[in-house]
Amino acid sequence: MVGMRNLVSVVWKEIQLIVRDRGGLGVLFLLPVLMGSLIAGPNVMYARESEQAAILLEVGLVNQDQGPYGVEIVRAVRGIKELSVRLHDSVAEAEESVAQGKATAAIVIPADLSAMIEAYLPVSIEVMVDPVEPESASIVTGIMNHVVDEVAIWGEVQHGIRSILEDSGILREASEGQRRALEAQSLGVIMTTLGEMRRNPLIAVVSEDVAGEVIGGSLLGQYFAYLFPAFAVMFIFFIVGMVSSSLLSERETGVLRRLSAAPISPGTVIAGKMVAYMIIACLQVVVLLTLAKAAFDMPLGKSPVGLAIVTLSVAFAATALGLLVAALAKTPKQADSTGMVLGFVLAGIGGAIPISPSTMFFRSEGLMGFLSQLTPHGHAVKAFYGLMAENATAVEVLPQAAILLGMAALFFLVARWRFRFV
Amino acid sequence: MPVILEVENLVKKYGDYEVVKGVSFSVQEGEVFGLLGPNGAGKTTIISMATGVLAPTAGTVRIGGYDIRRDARQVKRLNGLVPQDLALYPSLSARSNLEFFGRIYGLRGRELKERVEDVLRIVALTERADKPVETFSGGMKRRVNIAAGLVHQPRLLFLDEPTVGVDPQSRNHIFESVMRLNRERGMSIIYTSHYMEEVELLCCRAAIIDQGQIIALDTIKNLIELLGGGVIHVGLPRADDATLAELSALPAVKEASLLPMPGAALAEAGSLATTLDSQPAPAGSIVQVVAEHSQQAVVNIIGYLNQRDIPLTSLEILEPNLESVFLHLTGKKLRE
Repeated sequence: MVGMRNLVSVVWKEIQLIVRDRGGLGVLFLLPVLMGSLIAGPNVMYARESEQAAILLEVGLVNQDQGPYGVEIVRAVRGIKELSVRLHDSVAEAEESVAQGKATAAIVIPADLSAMIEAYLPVSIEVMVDPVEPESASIVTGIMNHVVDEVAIWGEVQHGIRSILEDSGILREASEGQRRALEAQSLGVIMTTLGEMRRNPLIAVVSEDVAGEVIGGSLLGQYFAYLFPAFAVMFIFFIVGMVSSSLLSERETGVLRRLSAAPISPGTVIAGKMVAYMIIACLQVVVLLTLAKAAFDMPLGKSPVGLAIVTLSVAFAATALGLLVAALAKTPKQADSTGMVLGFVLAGIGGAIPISPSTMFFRSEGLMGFLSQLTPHGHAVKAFYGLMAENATAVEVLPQAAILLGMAALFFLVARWRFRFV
Repeated sequence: MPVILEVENLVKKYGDYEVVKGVSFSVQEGEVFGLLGPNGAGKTTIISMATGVLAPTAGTVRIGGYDIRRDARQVKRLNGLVPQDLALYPSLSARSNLEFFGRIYGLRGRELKERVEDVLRIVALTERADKPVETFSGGMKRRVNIAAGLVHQPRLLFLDEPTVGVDPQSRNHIFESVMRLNRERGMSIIYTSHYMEEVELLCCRAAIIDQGQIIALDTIKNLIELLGGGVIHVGLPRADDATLAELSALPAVKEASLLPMPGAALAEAGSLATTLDSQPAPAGSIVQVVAEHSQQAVVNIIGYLNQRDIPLTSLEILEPNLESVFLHLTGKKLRE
């Protein structure tokens, strides 16, 4: 009980000291947010620009059909984001629009479209194209083929139902109303089943990367699921310099000597410092990932428990490494610089400097992949990426968490052996 | 008076190097006890062992009846340590520093607040309590340093060179605080210093320490009386055993001996000494004469030297104080 109260006192004192260190807070919290945003922002803007370019195909549309298929095709064409559709009253008007270069193509739905489909007779939709823009014209043609295929399925199915019903003789005694109701009901059932099959196909083609892992979500989201956690890990490890220099400052100023004369164990003093910095590390992750989610729609995965486990493991590894540096360095200044250099070097090797997706060394083969596995950064970023981009479960990232905790324990034990309290 | 601190045969070794060599002394409840000695004499090491900061190589320390090794936690609750360094958190306010050190000693809530206010009053820093310590002057930082050792109301306070680097005003304030703590609250205080004036002013008894050993321990009065009527340093071109014997036999002289120190030290005696001239002391021998009555002894010595036609190269009369006691006992100055 006394030990716990002393621990809380030390933690509170440490947090007060950290809060007063504005420069340190800037490095731990502001810098990763700024760097993450500076890289993520242009990516988002570029993606949006690309998206806008794809929808800027101007097409004219003339619907001469008064039946349901003509209406359905107009609705489908207008729902395609790559096309900007303008309705015309006449074919001449649409042709003129293409001739003047105002539209890339003009689509003309013939007046007998619905009737012909109903009669199960061949019918065509005319696409007039601008000869000076053959690529755009072929895109519009391709899109129209897709639309017509969809609509044609309705016609095919309806025709099939009618043929079966007529051949079976069921409708021989039925009135016209009963016949239409039966056809509509059968069509509804079939199309609902068809829709369901499209949503949940029995056989599906799935994209996989070379490692056999399923790629889900947008590519940008996946990149952000690497970018922001990598920055979080990199800046968590800047705590190393802060932990070590603050501990050595306390020894240099005689505070540790004063505490040695007080009824508090050295273990409690060290543990209090570690807990305080672990809280700061966890806050770094929470702040950065929350902002990334809010501003850039970064995926967070499906396992908050997994995120908590990995965050705590990284925080423990970073603070324990800080103790190790304190045990080996001679002065606070030396400890601070060592922590900074270690932070950059280990982050670089471990793939926690996310300049581009090519720096994901923890997924690489070869030397960089091997070196990455030697750093806590590599395991931490791998675990975060697995949770956030690949929807890994907490159990699936336990190996990385265990490695991080093992490294932390090793750092801690060496530090305990080497550190001179007074 | 009951004994609050008992130190017996305390030894501290680092490898083969013995820093503290079998020190023994005791301090009574309510006493201000001085540990006087030059830098490196072993004062801080003795205090570190008495407060549980360092483990003794041999010997025992008992505080309030508790053994420092067996009952460390109880002993540490009775002690207060004001280290020589400014052992504070500079970016925290004086109040936050004191609250932290108070909590470590188990103080909480209203009691903690009252104790912090109390010690801030003692060191006269109530008005600056919420300012960061790093904005304080050297003297103010020293006072916060002392307050941090007092916040839990220790029965025995160790003050390790508390006035190093302090301006005269703050130094006086520290003296007043120490005297009030002892007089009004009955606090026992161990005061280490290499400033003999401080120990003379504040302490009832003192131990003089040199090279890890206690070379004298008594009341301040008795220590000074070791020198009788004072000490005279007589500079001669050379002094043989016959001269020393004849000087010892002069009226008003207790003893005469050859001082094993370079003559140059005479020129640095400062305000405590009266020299015949201001020139640097010439090379030769310095004879240390312990007098029963210094003025009469000087007359007799000069008469003797004239009679024997021995030239006098320098003459220094040391006032009887702890500085001259230390010089007499060790042949060294405290601040060398």
